[in-house]
Amino acid sequence: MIFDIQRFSTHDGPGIRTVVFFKGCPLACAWCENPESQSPRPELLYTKAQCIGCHSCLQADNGGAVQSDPGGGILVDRSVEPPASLESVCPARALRIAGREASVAEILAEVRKDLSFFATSGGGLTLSGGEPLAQIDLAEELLGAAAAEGLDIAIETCLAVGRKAVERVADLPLHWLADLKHVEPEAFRRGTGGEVELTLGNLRYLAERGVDLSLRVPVVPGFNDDEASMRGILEFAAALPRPALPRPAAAGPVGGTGPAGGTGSVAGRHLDLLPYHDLAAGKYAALGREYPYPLGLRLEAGFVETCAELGRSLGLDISLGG
Amino acid sequence: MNERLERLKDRILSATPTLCTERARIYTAVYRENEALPVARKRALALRRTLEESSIYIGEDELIVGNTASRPKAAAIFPEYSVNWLLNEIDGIDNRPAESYAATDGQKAEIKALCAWWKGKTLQDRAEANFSPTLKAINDSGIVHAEGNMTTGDGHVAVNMFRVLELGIGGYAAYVGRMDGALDPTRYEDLKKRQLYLAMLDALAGLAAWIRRYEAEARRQAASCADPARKAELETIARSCAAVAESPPSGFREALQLSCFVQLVLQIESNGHSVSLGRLDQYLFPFYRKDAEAGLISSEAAKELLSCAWLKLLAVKKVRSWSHTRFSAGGPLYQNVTIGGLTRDGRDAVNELSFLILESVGDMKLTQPNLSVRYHRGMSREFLAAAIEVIRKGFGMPAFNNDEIVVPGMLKLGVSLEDARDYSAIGCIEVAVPGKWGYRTTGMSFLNLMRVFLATLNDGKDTKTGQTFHGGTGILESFKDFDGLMAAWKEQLAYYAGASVGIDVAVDSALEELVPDLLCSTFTDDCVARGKHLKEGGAVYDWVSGLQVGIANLGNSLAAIRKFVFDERSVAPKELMAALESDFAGPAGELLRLRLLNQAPKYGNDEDYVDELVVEAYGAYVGEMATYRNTRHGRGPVGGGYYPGTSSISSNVPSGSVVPATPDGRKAWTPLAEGCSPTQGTDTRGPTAVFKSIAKLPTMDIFGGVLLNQKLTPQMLSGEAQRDKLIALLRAFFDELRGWHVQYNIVSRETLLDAKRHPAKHRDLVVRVAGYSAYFNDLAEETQDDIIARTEQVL
Repeated sequence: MIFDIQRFSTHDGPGIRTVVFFKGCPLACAWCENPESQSPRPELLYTKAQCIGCHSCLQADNGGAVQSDPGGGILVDRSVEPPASLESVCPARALRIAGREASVAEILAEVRKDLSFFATSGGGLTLSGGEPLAQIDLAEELLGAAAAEGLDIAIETCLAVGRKAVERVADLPLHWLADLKHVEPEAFRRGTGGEVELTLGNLRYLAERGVDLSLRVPVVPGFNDDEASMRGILEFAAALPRPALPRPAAAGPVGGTGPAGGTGSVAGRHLDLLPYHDLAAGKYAALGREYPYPLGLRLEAGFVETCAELGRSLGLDISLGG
Repeated sequence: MNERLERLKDRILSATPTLCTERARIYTAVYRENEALPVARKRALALRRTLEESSIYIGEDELIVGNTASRPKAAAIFPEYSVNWLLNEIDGIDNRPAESYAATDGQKAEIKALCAWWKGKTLQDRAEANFSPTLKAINDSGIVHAEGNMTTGDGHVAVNMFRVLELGIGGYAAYVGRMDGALDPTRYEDLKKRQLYLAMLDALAGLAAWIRRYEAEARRQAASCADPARKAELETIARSCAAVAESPPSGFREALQLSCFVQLVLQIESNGHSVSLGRLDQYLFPFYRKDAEAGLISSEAAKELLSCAWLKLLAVKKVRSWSHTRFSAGGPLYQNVTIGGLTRDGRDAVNELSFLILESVGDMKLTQPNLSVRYHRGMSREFLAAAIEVIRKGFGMPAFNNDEIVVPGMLKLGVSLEDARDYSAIGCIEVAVPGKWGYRTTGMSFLNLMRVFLATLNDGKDTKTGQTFHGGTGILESFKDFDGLMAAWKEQLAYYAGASVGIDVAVDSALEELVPDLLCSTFTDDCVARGKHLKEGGAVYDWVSGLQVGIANLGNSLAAIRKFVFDERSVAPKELMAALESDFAGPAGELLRLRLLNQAPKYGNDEDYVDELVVEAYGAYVGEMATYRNTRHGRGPVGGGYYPGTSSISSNVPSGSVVPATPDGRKAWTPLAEGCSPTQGTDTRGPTAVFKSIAKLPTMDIFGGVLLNQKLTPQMLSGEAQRDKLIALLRAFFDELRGWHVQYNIVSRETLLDAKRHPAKHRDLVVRVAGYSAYFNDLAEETQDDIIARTEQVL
């Protein structure tokens, strides 16, 4: 099941890419910027501000997912799975269904629309989520088919999955963009609900296999925005085994002649620091969920830059913000 | 930008626009004193006397000189084109919602007195006299808007600056003299040519005299100048002017100064806008290289001179009627400079001067010139990156035109390969071979597609005015299927295409008879050789196009009707028509409007369902226009035909203001979509989808240009990797998809909103309106809102 296909993505691997978002994730990070990606079931997003109270959805076949709200607008019954047709009955775009089954052929047809842009930028297809490896059958088939027709492929993953799933795609020519959120088991469990050793073990496994592996570190208030946590993360990253060969150039034909980006970038392992933001707060409301952080919360000024410095001193190739 | 340039820029930006009556006074006197002369000779005499007698100035700090009116940002008056609007509007000209001109009571009285003599004698009077009653009614209805063409003339031209710099003014005079000497006085045609040659000689003499006056003024100022540095500058100005008054230039500075004089004098001679400089980096480069190799000029000095030239272009103002002003928001002159592209023999034409022009335009951040980069497949990453550095500054320049489509498109029209490779942008996005193409390559006449579409749903009745110009095609309810609607659309469209050409022919013949231009004709091949001015068929090539407004609305309306009325049958034709008539009144109306807006496919998202309707519905116009001939057909030029064009500038706002509600869910009187861009806010799938949608159009045949605006926020261009992705995006659009044009607004929505609230804080803010850039503060509020509403593309 997927919940979106987004064209012209420029922060999800080399070049201009089309990202396929898988629905369902083994983790449940409090700061997740795609909260609709977490559940493996279709969900209804209801943006109250858009609702004009026309009640088209109440008159349509709604499977009981919506009811009239005496206070205006509608009430969503989250215990009921919304029918896929519900989205298209809302004239105001107040209702959106996240989650639909899509075949590999269907997905690839959409991805192929931007072949021209992949060609000039060195871009291609990226699987993201949710956790694509949690649907390993679909992920493997899609990546295999894409690679077979010459598409550049990448995956964004939290690696909180069994080794078996990782192994099934490890031989493909993938750009791995893997999360490294924390290295302390207790902190990791508190923030994400998962077991850190699963992720760290998979990271070591991939690094040893010499795949093209970049790391992504969300920097989140109250979770890992302290020096000790970040030092642990960065040191773990720096200690991962390095492939014998330099990783492939990060950009396509246009990037070839430019000066090398970043400092100390003599093929140091790439690690991206992703500062926390609250742009997703509206999606939590649309899902009927409480946003777990106070709005307007920001990281301490300069903290990410300090971490970047530390990372570079450890030999990592650090970038900020994807 | 150095201190001199900052002072010069600040002086012009802070100057109040005013009116200048000198040209009108002199033209009126010469016409009155010489009623017996053929019109070309009258006009030449009037131009010559204006150049000999009107005020000239050399301002403090200036290095490049020349002026079209008595002071910076003064607008000359052109009474021979039209006086009706002036008489109606002159009293309030200093109190308009935008583009106001300070005018004294004395000036207003003088303008009224001068205009009184012209009443009934102007271009507009003649053009309207040429209209049939039906064409007059169509023109008055606003379905076709050709006002600008009648009140200000056609413009949209670039002269042969290569040749001007090669021959000099004296060389041209000698050439015209030789042609004149070879005439046979016993032949009627030669008598006609003789009148033209005499007129051309007068105009050239006037131009030379004008340049001499700057020489004298520079010497006068130098003589009394206490500052030795400025004194030396003034002496250099005097020497440069003296050098080019008759002879061809020898160095970069003289060549640039002569180019500026010619650019300015063309805008004294005629009132049409989009007079363009053509391929400045090509014709000035030999001079620059020679000087640079001899150690006579540094790149910094060249940039300073170029910047001084841009300020000269910025000082030109043009006063338009209020209704025409709304079609050209921000008061633009669209003086285009084109750089890059291919050489005549097919190599990459980018040179050192291309970079200097790009950088100086980026440093100055002015609305003039309108800078276009000609992209081609072999363009270096270095030059594209430099162009994107300028785009990042967020004032909408440069725009890109694409050789990969324009050159083959020109070949298809019958232009020679060398000339095709030598094209330049004219005005905004439209193209022509500079110095070889007739007036008005594109522009000045607007066809309101949505008024035609609403008539298509109403058996030909124009829902705004209640008039039926072409009935009998049926009402929406009567169409058995969607094909029936499409057939009716094509019939109505063909009718109005014919009407727009009819109006064009009426105006063109008036332009030919009443306002021939001598210098512009002299400097455009092969007017002198043929003994014909431009409007008589003097140009080597001559195609024109009007502009069609509302392309995205047309496709979206068709898609909504197809889906709801014909495919789903969920909306009854009567229900839709009633909702349109009431402007979606009441909760049920609003509900239907939202369904039309949100539940039907929208152009710009790479969805064939709607994109193919745009292709079919607008494509019908492409085929229709190919059947028409302009007034120069068979009189000399290659071509003599029409093609479509979409560079609708800011006309989408006033064009929308005369269109009732439309089936794409657009409320009555609100803006239409601009150019070929998607409707504001409906392109939700990102820029690659927009590019894919627009590339489905028969771009090569829409030779008036396929305009695409995209807005990017500044953070979208932060970092080299992101900028490389923008280059890759452009390359794919141009190389693979054969796009025509794209331009970027790099400015955040927050900035625009703040600028609207606090104009004083953003005096400097330039935005891309459509095919050009304007100061945000100069725009009417509705245009400001329109720009804010355009979708921000995430890069």
